[in-house]
Amino acid sequence: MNPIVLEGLTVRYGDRVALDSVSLTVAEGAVYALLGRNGAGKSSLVRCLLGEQKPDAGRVSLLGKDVWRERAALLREVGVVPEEPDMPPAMTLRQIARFCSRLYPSWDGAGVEARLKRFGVPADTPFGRLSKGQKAQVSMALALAGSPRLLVLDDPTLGLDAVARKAVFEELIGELADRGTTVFITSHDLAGVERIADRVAVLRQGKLVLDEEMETLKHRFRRLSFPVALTPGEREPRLEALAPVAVAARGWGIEAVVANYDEDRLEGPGKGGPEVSALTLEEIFIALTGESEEGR
Amino acid sequence: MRGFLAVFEREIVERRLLLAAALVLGLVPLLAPLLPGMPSGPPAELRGGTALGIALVLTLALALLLGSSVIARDLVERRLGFYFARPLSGAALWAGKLAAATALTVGAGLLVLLPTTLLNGFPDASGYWGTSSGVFRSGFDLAVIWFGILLLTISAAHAMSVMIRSRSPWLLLDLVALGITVPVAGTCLLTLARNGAGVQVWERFGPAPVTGPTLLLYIEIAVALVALLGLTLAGGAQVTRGRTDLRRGHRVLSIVLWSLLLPAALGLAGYTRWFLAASPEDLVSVHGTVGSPASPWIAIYGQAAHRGGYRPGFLYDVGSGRFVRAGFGRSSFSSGLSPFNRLPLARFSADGRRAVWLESGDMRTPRDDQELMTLDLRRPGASPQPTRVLLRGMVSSFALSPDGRRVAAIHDSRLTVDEIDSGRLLASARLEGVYYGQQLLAFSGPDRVRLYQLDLSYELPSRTGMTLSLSELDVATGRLTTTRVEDAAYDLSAGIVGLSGDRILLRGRNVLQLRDGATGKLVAELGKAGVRGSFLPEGKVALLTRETAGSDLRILDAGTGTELRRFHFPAVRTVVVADQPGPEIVRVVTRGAGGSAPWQLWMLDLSTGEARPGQRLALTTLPFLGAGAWPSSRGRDGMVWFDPASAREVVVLRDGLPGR
Amino acid sequence: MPTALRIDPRDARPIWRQIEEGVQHLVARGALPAGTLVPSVRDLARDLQINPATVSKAYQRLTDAGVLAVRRGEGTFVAETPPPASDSRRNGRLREEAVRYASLAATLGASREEALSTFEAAWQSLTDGNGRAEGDDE
Repeated sequence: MNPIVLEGLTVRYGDRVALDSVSLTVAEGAVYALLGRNGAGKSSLVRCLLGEQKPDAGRVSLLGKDVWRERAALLREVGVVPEEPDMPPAMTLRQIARFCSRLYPSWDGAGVEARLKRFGVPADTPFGRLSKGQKAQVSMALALAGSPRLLVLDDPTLGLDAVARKAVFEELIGELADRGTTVFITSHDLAGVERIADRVAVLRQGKLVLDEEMETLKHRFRRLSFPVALTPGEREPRLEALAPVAVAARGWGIEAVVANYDEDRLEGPGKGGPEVSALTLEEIFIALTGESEEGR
Repeated sequence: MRGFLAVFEREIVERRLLLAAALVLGLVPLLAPLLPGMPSGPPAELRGGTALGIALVLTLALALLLGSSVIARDLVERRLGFYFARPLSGAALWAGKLAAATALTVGAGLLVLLPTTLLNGFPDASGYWGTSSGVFRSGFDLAVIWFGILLLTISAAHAMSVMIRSRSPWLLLDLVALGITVPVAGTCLLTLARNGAGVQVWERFGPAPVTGPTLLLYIEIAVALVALLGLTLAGGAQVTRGRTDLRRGHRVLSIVLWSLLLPAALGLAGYTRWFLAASPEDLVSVHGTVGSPASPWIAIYGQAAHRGGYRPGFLYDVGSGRFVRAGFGRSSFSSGLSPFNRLPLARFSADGRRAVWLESGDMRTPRDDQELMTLDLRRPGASPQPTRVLLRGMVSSFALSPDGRRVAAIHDSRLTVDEIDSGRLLASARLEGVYYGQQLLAFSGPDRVRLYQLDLSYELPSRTGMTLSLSELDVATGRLTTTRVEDAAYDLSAGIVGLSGDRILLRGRNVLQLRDGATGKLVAELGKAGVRGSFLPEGKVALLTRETAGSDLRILDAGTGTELRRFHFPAVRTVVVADQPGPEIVRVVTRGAGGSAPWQLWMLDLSTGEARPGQRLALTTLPFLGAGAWPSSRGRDGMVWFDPASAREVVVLRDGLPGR
Repeated sequence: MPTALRIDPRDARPIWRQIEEGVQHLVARGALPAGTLVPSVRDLARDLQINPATVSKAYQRLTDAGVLAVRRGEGTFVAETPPPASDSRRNGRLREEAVRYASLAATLGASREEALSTFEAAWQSLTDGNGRAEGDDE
């Protein structure tokens, strides 16, 4: 059973379409990263996914069941790290943990204590007085304490410094190593996501423009740098043949990003041919989403 | 349940300082007797009053504050996601938060009272907000009502907070719905209250008023419960269906709230309509009737079934069964008079064309002012029309001219005469002195109005008693001449029995006198103790005396008081004069001793002195024209109208009698 | 064990392949002697900030290839007799890296002799066991 199945998910705010018939599936044990610029619809998608918001159309199946109808029961097995830490600011961590412990059938209270100790977050501090990084760590610790089958992380490292970011990812990796939890993560931290996600999806203006295994994605995207020597007359036909997703003038030459790199067709740095290099996820993301912003 | 408790506990813990603050605030009343500017009184009472006052203000403020922030603030500050990201049902969240807000509000109120209670005992709320109304008999009642108000406030504050904070155009719909619901409900409640729904139902006219909740209280409780239910369900729906989406939540809240409250308001409006639509058939007892001399109409007024203390009045056509609602009774609610109010229900013109009566308590007129209403009795389908005659102050008597065009009235210490159709004031004269006794007002000619007053006097040989005075107003000149009839002095139980032409009948405890209507001069002494008399329609006097062996009916000449005929009814206890179907013919109904004895109809021929027995009547009640009898409501077949002309019984008021 | 493994997102190879080849490399050049306990999947994943499944996949392939051996309850160790890398793969990699080095040297304007002697020196330092294999020209 796939822990997450979205079918034709559509959300509108007045005339604006926030999500346009998005369908995706997250397989058991997968680490699924959803990327998108601000306002692409990630938050709406996560709210629908958790049954906080009712989509205007489409179906959300969480752990095999309709999330709008069975939200409360389903969330016993889902750990959630929200985009903004939204715990009541006046509550101390101990109170929050106690509150949460009453809601989950299998609550790992010792685990929470241990994690908070590891993070060096005092349990008697009101949540509102914690630093941003500590809040994120607390969110993470609470999300993991319910022994979830599925973790949903909505940009968990947003606004965190490198140290805090690393701590959050370390927790996530530990959880993955220990329990093989399925993870659905949205993030701006592409470098971090690149290392742990095994499947990547990209939302652009409410539409899912990419949904692919990380490995094949990285395999098919390449940057081709054409040397200056080529005249536009020589270059254009070659470029067109490549059907690039992005083309940019850079320095003395032209760089093109191709989405369907074929080793046999474009073998190595040949004479007069372009120099071929691999792309990071961030570069792929920019090529996919940045271009459209300019092209509008 | 786990979720509910978790949320409940969390809310309480987060706001526990509030309770501590309330406890500190509770110390203030202990110092109340020492504060400057406090009214003097026993310290315990001052403390109790101050504590109650603080508790009331504090709980109301908290209800507003907590109600408006319990969910809506979390929503706006985007902190509701914390709950919705957990396995916590929306219902548990809403119920937990609502219960916590209520518990905090009530708890804070009790904590404010705690120090005073420890020192002086629990302040008795009933001592401050009197239970004299008889509706709320204890402080417990008041506490329950206050609790209800707090609950309503909390849930209403929540709903309003969501509506305002969501900034969605649905607010317009809310305002429209609110603009319908509240005025409709308010108007209905006001109308019901004005029409006696809040009056105790008097099962019978006994000396002790019946206490207990009134129908209006039940209606008010129902309205409050419906409002509470609507607000609570709407809040719950907003949380469970709207979740973290404030605008969607607002939409759901509005839909649920108004789809409950709008029909409820319409239902209340429908109920009010039904309430006011009582027909003569719905009367369970009759508090007054007046018959018309030359038409089949009567004015009738009584207690309606299943409508609290609603006493509708009707003009009722006995022949056709047609009726028109008239607000005879309404004035007695606003002025607090009992149904024994002597003011006649209505006056009919001598030709039977017109009925007039007074109405007040309507929103069109100020509190005590009475509006003269009129009905054209001859025109089928006519409805009561307001006239331009408005009588200010309490009206103690009014009379219609025989032609039905003028009305005389005593109000505001004045005797006035108005022309009905134009509303013109024809004459107005000030009446001297304060009046405590009985009045009889009548037109003695087209331009003359006579007022007979039996008034309290302290200057009689027996020190106190009633004396007769006679005033005549000349409408043309507006001059009022008052004559005190020197030899007309009676004991305190005296009364004016009737007026016919130029003769007036007066009675005291041991006396019945026939006097000249114009001068007040004594014409004849008609009897001593136990004699009852009345005028026959054509002007003769009927005298009834009860003997040991039966009853005597004597017919006297009104001009001289000499006896014309005497009829003896052996073994008869009650004699009621019905009418005169023709010249020299009088019909009476007699009844032997015992409650179940049958009524016997007699035809008396005054010219021959012959008494012919008629049929036996299965009547239990005889509301005869002009007989002045109070009809009982205990008839087996309802209130029965006996039509003397045809000697037929007409069951007027069939249903709704008690015990049936 | 201070890992000499590095993950490079710019590398066209998948991460598991980078780990696999990195470990093979470390074993081949003797930095990981036979019988050495390699980091657990969890520790390595945390060190590299990568998905443990990726590490697991690399370890699995290395175990299948006989480079690593799992001793139940004790951990994963470098196998006693690591097999040589397959000829065709090895030759391919060698040629690929040689081309890269040659083009780099040409770009920097080094002569053929200069490039060869630099390579010799580097080889020498490797066999001495106190240098780093990777270039640090990035």
